[in-house]
Amino acid sequence: SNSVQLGSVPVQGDVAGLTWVNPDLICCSTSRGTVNLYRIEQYRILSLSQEWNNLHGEGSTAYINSSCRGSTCLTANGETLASGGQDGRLNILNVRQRDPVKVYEKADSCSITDVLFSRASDVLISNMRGQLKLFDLRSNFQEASSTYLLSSDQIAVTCLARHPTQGHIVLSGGENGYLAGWDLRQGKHPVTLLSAHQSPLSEIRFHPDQPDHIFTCSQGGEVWHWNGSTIKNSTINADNLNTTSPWLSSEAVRHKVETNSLVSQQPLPINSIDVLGHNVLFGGDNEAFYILHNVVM
Amino acid sequence: DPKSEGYLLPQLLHWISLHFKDCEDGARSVLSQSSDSPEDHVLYWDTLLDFVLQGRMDQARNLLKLHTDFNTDMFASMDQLLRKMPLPSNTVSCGDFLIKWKNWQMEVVSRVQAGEFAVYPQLNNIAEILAGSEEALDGMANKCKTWYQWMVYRLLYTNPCVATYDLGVYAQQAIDRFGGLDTLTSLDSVLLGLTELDLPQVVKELCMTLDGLWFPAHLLDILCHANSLNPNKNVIPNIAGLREYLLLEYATSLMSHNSLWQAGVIYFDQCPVQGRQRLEALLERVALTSNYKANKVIHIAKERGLHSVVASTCKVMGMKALAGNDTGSAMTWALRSGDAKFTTFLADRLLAEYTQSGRFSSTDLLDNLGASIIVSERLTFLGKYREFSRMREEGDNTGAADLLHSLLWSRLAPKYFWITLLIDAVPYLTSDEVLFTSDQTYQ
Repeated sequence: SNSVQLGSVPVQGDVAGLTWVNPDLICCSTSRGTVNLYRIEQYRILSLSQEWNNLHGEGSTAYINSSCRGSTCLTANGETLASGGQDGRLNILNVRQRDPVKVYEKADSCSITDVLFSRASDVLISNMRGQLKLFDLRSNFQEASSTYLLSSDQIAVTCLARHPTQGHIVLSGGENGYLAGWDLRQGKHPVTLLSAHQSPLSEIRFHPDQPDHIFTCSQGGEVWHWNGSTIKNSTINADNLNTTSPWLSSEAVRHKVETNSLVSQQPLPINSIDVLGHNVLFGGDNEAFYILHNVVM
Repeated sequence: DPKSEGYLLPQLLHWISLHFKDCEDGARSVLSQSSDSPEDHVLYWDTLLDFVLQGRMDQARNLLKLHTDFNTDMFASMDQLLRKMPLPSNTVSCGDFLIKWKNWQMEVVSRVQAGEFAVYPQLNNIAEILAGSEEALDGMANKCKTWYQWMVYRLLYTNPCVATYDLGVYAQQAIDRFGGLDTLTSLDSVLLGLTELDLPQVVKELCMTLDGLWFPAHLLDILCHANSLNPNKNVIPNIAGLREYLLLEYATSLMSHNSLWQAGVIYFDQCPVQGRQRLEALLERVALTSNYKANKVIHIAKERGLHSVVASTCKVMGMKALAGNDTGSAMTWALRSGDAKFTTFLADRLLAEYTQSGRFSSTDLLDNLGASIIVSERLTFLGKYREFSRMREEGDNTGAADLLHSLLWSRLAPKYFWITLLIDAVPYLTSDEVLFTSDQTYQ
């Protein structure tokens, strides 16, 4: 069966973040510092429903198309959106409001690389220096409520993923190809660190129904499926508090996690991946995207 | 294909049959018109002739069978001739085939001379062609759309064992028949070049007429691989050099493209002689429109050990961040590039910010410098001063005093900062607690 394009709409600049808000609304953030909300009608027509402009890069004295003005990531929680920028600014938006609900002007002192909602009121961002910062939307402070550090070397965190049901469990991918597991409630450092790909991770996804399975893709053109259920089955370490998720288990570090390469290594980077049921969708710099069916868990 | 080395003609015939399919349309038309005398169809004889010229004997005979007079002797005779015509095959050597073929053609000639087909001029014409009569074949030139079509037809009935190196001669003759060199189109020139095995000529022609280098580059690449697989003959000299030249040019044209530049990188990887240098030079010129893209360039450079590109990209991105007043990002880029001068410059900026505002703007950077603190002395000082500042805030007076003392003693501080340091020292000297030992005060 071939994929059919249902509709399209031109966008100014590069699309940096893309997410569904609900079955009728799609949202994207761009390298021009805008966030656009599109309404889908009859599954075919995309119409611009709302636009937020100049969300990033204000105060930059440089040229108009400065790269500082771009958003780098976007995420949604219900009707709330969060956009992180290359300028270190974090914007919280609501689909029903014209102006940003909340703006953290200096959420980070350098570029934000990814963003997610840990809970409805907690936003987590990662930066190019390997730090994670948690912001409590309910408080009035402009500073992060918690800061986490990957390592003392300045290794960028390139992507974040949140456990489908347990918001305190987060995985991060680094530019050194490593995968780190974090428990946001405890400690400032990752609980687990797994050497993974040979190149920077582009995206990590938890399987929405089976969170013991994760999927990753890299700039080196690899697409992997990680089966964490094998870790659970091995003997549980008595002093390991986090037996709820294999990704926070020290067993994962001690024994090798079972990984499967879903495709042969591609010559160009794979930038994005997603999974639903037994289907895996991924795409990259060769201007193509692929759907794998019947992926076995 | 090394196996059918001797037999060029079948491949030529196949090529012609792919490009000149009028006979198939004609046959369909004749067959669809169900009538008692299909030979009266306008296209009947033309189509039959076409099949014969292209060496498609089965189809020719099928058409022939439809003729109402098929049961007469002359038709039977023609049918037999068509059936018996030897065609080159891999199982028969060139010499053996030629003997059979000559015998067959002699048979044709004798039947023609005996006047077997005299009654039917069309049949006679076909027979003459089978006999390889130059006159008859010359007459066929009018039926042909192109010179190479006629060349192949002629070869089929005059020299079926033609070798690759002789093809050029026949090509010239065909071109002369069709109007000479002046009337050549670009495609004609390319084909002429191929028959003469003049590869530079072919490539030159292709490069001049086509918009991009995609076709010649890939064509040369395939030929090069085929050439290397053929151990016996180095048919085309210097082909590797020509291939690399074309690939380099093509890859260079890709590098300026917004999204295809990454494909260009892969092409450079395939050029063993100059690929790496060219890539190094061009990678530095890729427009760094965002952090995301810059990181891709850095990854490509790192993978191939092009460290100078990594360093220069980091510097460019650092400068861009600075232009956007993002000192924090700029510092991160500076540290990634390991550039001491730039780092010092940025550290000075941060210190200046502090003296003006009394606060540090990038505390999370300064608190977590790790190993990068040694990249520049200024940065080391900055990091340590931040540590002192923090200790002071937290009320750790002894620790702060110690650190301050070591900072003064180490002379790491830049001249413009000495005043600040001394002012910082005052409260510790004048406080009631003994914070500096007598040794320290002496120094």
